[in-house]
Amino acid sequence: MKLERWNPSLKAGTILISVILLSFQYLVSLNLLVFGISLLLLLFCSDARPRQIGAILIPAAVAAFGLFVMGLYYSRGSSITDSQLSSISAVPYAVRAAMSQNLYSALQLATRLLAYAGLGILFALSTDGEYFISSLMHQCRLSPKFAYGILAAFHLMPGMIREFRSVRTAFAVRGVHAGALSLKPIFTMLVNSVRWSESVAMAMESKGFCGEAPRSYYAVPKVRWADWAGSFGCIGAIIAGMLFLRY
Amino acid sequence: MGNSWKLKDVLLIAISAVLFGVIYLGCTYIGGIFYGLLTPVGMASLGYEPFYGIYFMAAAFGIYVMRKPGTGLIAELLAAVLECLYGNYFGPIIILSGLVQGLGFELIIALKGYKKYDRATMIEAAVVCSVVTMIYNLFISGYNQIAVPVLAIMMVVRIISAIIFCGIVTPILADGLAKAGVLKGYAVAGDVSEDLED
Repeated sequence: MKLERWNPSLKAGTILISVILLSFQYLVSLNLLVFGISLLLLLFCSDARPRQIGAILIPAAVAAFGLFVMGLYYSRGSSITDSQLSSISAVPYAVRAAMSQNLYSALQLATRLLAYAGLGILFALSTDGEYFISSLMHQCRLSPKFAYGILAAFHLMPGMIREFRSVRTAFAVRGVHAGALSLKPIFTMLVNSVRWSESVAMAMESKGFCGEAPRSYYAVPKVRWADWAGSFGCIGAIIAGMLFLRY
Repeated sequence: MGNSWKLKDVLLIAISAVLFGVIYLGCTYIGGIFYGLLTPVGMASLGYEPFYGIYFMAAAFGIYVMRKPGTGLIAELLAAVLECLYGNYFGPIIILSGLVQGLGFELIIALKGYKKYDRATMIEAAVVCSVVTMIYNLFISGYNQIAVPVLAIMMVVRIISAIIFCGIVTPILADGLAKAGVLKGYAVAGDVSEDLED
């Protein structure tokens, strides 16, 4: 079964339950297995291209590395004590000793982030946004008003980035210096956002969109037994890993 | 709860969530530089904390403008689903964070019966939200493995960030919009016109 065909709501639910389960354990091996299997599934059971996977993995790897170094230096309970730091000759040994003790905690922190990222990427690269929203509507009873509202805002984003740039340019042309966090362009953008929300709502309603009335759908995502099997399989595998893995 | 929402309310919340997302994205570049500088001293995760408050801005703006129960939570959930659609590497896990952030921000406002929206309340909400999200990080991100003083520094930076972005900047922006007459029909507009009559 292709990952793309896994019902998005069930896929998201499975990943959320997996993450909550993983947050109760500190097994480096299980974290790495979850990360590795997620990537293998993406490579062999989905249409995601290896290059896409690599690009999305970079920020995750950077975040994991930062957390690793943080864990190495500042893990709870096994940090270098003040007295060891004060006696100069003891420092190299103390640092080494503390680091070896901290290494495992650091690995726990970093691999946990990788496991989450693996699961997140599995979803992100194998799920079509519109199919996900449509599934939220049919499987999770999200009201059409919210569903189509989200999609409208989603598709506005490229226009908003363009508008943001021209607002900043407009300020620059008038000689108003607007720094990265200046409120002036943000205020203008908020005014635009309110206007957009009004006109997009008007446009949708004038095309006959009404949040409440029953409507027909071009495609209705369904939940098949294979979707449930996939979900139970994943959660079962993680529970098994929690029970049987040691490190 | 959902029925009292008009389409334009949903769109305003969703579009503002996208806007705050764009602002956050801009700030991640600065955050990335901090992150790189702080990695060698083991404080990498501190790099993004100064901008953490932007995460709560969708909730803060939504509830401050609409003043309806559930707005903060719904705003954060919409923001989370949107982030999920844009392909964040945490995928649906963001929805869980959004739930925690929305509930965290609304907690204080709910305790005050959805009646008070002054600066002090917004600042309290920002502080509580920071604490709630840090507790969430303790369990989900495994921060309970990290030494308490380091966590305390992160907590302080996060609280300051939330106070600036959600307790101060968001009400200033929303009041400005209301005074400019852009937010007619929203609860915040009524409040500002009362102020003018005083």
